[in-house]
Amino acid sequence: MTRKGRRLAMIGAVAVVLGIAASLVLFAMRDSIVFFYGPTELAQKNIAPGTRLRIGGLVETGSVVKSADQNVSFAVSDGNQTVKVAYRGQLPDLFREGQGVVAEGVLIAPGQFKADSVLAKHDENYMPKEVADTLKKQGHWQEGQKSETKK
Amino acid sequence: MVLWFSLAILTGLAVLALLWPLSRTRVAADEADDSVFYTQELADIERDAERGLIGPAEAEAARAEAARRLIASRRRQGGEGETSASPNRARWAALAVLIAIPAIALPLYLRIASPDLPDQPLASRETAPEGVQDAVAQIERHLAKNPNDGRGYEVVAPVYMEMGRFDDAVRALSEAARLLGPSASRFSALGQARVAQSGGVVTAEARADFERALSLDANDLRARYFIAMAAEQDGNNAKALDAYRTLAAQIDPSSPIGQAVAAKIAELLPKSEAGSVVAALPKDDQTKMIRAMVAGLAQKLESNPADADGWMRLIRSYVVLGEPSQAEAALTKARAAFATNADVLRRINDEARNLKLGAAP
Amino acid sequence: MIVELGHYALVLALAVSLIGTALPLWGVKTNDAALMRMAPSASLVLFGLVALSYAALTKAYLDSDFSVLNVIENSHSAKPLMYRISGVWSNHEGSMLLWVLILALFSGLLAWFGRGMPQRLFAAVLAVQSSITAAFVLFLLVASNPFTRVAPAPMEGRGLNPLLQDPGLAIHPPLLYVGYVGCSVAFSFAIGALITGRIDAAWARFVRPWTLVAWCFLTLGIAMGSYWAYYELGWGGWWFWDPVENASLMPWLVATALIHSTVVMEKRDALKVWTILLSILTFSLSLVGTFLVRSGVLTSVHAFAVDPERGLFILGILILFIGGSLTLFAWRAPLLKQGGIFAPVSREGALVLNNLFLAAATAAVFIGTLYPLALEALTGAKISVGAPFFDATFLPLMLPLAFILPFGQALAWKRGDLLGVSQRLATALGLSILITIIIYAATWGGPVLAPLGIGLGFWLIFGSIADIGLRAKGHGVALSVALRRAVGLPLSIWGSTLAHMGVGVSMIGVACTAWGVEKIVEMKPGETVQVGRFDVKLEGAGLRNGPDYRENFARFIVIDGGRVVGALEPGKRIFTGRTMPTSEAALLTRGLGQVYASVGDVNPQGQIAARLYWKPWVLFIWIGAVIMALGGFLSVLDRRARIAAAVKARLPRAVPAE
Repeated sequence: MTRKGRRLAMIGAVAVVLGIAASLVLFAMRDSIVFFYGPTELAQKNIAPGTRLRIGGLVETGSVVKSADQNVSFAVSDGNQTVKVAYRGQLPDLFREGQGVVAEGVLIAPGQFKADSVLAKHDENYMPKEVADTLKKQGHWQEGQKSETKK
Repeated sequence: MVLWFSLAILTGLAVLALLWPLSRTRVAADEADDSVFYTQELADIERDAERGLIGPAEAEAARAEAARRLIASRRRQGGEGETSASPNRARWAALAVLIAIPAIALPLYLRIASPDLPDQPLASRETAPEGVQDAVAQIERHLAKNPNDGRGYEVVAPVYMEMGRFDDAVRALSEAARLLGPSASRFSALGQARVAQSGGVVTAEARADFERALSLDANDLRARYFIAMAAEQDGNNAKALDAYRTLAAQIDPSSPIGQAVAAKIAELLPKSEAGSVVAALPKDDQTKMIRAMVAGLAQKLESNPADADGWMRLIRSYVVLGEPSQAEAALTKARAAFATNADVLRRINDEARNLKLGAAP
Repeated sequence: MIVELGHYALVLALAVSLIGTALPLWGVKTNDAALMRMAPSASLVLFGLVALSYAALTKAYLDSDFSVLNVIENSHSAKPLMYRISGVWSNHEGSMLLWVLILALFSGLLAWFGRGMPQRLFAAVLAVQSSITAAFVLFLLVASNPFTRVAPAPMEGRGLNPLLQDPGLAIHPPLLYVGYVGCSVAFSFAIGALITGRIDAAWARFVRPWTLVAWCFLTLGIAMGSYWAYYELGWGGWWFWDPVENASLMPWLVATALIHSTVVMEKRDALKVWTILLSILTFSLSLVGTFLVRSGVLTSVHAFAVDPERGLFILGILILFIGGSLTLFAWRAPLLKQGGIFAPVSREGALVLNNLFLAAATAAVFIGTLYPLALEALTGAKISVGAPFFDATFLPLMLPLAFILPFGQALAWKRGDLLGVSQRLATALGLSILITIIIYAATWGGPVLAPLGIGLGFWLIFGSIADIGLRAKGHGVALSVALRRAVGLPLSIWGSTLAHMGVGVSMIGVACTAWGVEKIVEMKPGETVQVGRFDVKLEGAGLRNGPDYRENFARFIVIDGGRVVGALEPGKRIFTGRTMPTSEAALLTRGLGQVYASVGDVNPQGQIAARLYWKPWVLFIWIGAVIMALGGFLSVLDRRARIAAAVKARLPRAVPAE
């Protein structure tokens, strides 16, 4: 193979691999990204039921109802709007009424959400910053400050 | 003294170690270059060829390439020229080391460190009287074996409070309440422990405990006192004052709690009246008025710095007004005013920590 | 006094590191041997000072000296000894000090073992290491000082975060830090090469062992972190694609590319500029990994505002080192002598392909991790990029890489013979395909991709064995000769073979998770649930006390084929000094699979919520990682990697600094 041929082969390989990578990323971006909304945004945006979402806010005090077979329902509020969330499974250790929570799942109807994962959020006053990265691992995200969701 | 001596020795050692290579002005023969690398690579190829790891043709090609690179490396080395060593430069460098090391290290250390604070390993510190320590340890051992002994928790909790182990007190009291069943005094004690734990703030959890206590006994004095304090901390001075007044009417003013209530009333009285006037003003004027009041308080404290609560109120006000630097300055002054009073100093430091102000000196 | 001495040692370290940066660089510029000789002395002094400082902080922890703010916040007099030691690095300030200690240790080792290197490069590399140390010591002193004192000292500390009170997590950060910080050596070599304007095969040989060591520790650290997340978090997963994990994966991917590209550079004198770039990127991503994670920026831009001083400082350091090095790269790299172009079908061609795939995979992870952050900063929209994104991008890039790996390993340098290689690997390929078909047949109707993954894993293992076999056998020699030759093969060949087998083993473990069983149930004592081939029976629940925690636990027994094979006791712990509960999962290892249980709350009907899993072959995931790291260490031991030491022995003894 000539020198020029080799160079072309090299450039070709680079272009092919990068092309594949770029198209994979773009394709996945379209399909597997989940938006995060607070209850108020959710109400404003008029999102079609069936969309996969993350919602976050505070667990409304007195709204947690545990029924048989690990079914739980609770309301997530930002002081303005509330969303009813249904979930089946174990709640995280730090799930408390009045504390922050993030739920991922599907919107079934306006104001009705079916979660397949629930992450308890930390109150910054309660959690030292230093361990936040560890906690992130556990899924206790801090998607935005508390004050922000409270408004 | 020993510390300064040690610091000096440490500095001296570091400076000496840095000057050592400068003292050898002769260009040493330990100049290594990468031709050694290729020589070794050639040897490696020989060895591999002998053992039959690579075929003769491959060995020949590899040998040619290594040799070519060896020559290239030698040529490059020649082009780079000999290293130099100028005594003049070495002298400047030595001077730089001698001046820069202490000039950077000392002022910086003095600025950020606390050289006059000794180590305080727990074992060597005067803690609570030994008898109490032993007793607590004994109860703890007992509880470790009998985790369901509610009485034990109830007994040890006030001692924890006394010792400042508020987290343990909260834990012990929650255990006691769980195991012995609800009672007004248990819940109000638990609430009090929580307040102590959060540095004097009546948190939502603590308030829930007090409310539970009041639901069991509407006359639980401690719970009523702290509920009033919660209202005060919420900024609802009028409501707090009302609650304190009702409380004061029902208790012996010479009892500790009576004195505390009286002090609260004395503190709140001017505030709440001023507060109601302030609330009636438009927003801009409100801020102006508040600032004027804060300035007044600051002035008063300048002339009479012995008012611990006044200082804390001032610091808090600055934080609320969004003037952290002022708050820090006030904090420093407050610390200076109570430098000799360990109790008050601790309260000030706790307050500072709560407000996320500068760390203790 | 000890505490203050440690504090002063750190301050002094700042001064020494500044001198150790400036004077040797002046020496490099003026070609002054005496000034250049200051570099190793400064590095060794620096290590001594930082070690003293670290020892002082550790002593404060051991003595429960609550006049140190850091000790108050992260320790408790009731802590067991081990967690008082690990408490030092359980928090931001202490872990930064550990980071700097490891950095100084690497500089010190380099100063000691690198004396056979060309002097200008040696001085420049150490000076760059010193400059990194200077930046981070300054950061420690100004924005995260672990020696801040409190007067009067409280009587008790607030305790260690219970999540961190675990042996796995106690050693995870140091391992990962050795990996991250080890990457600084490659970075310093790259900057050194750009400064001195010289880079050649010898450079690659010098930098290779350091990169390998860093890579090995990074591998172990990531594996450890993943195992910790698996058994401590109670979710049963072993990789969550969350920003913290991605931040450690990215430097690993680039470091993997780097150890392959240095081979090409060493053997063929090519890929120079690319290797320099990879060296810079590896350390840059390590910095991003340590600090963006620490500052919380990766989770949300708002986290930055929590501690703006610290955040800005970190940002400044990142801009200085990443931006500065890339600028230097753009300016100086074109001046480096270019290597040759080579045939696409050859060992070096395959290694280029390897680098391409790894770089593309890193880019995909990078985009997935930082895109939400960028979007939030620009538009305010909050999105989460989770596992589906990474599964759809990362895996398709890794699978072809795994497939071509055995071919590349078997190709000759310069000009490869793809047909010949295919013939030689035919048996390995055939066996792997056969295994894949058998698994498909046996699990028909089950997972679709997993058998393919297992087949690929076996292909890597068989391909590596075949490669060793072919190298030893040569042209039809007797078995005894072949064995003797195999033993005589350079350790670096055994190392790379082993590491590639490790990749295969991990891959099999990952693929096998597809056959895992998950049961989310609520059970009463006495009830039994079937999990895979096991029956798991809840015996009862209770309360017990540990040294500094109280635990609500449940006791399960595991029955396999009518026989009790073990017990599981997962629980929830509440630690002294903290009010937050933590889950404690329980594991029972059967062969290389594990039965896994974690429990939740008790509901009003007296049932206990539980998650029960059966994870067949799951241990392969981490065993594979350990094999990879072993392979790496084996390569480091290769006599060729120790060139610098060998050279030193032949020369007049250089003068030690202290």
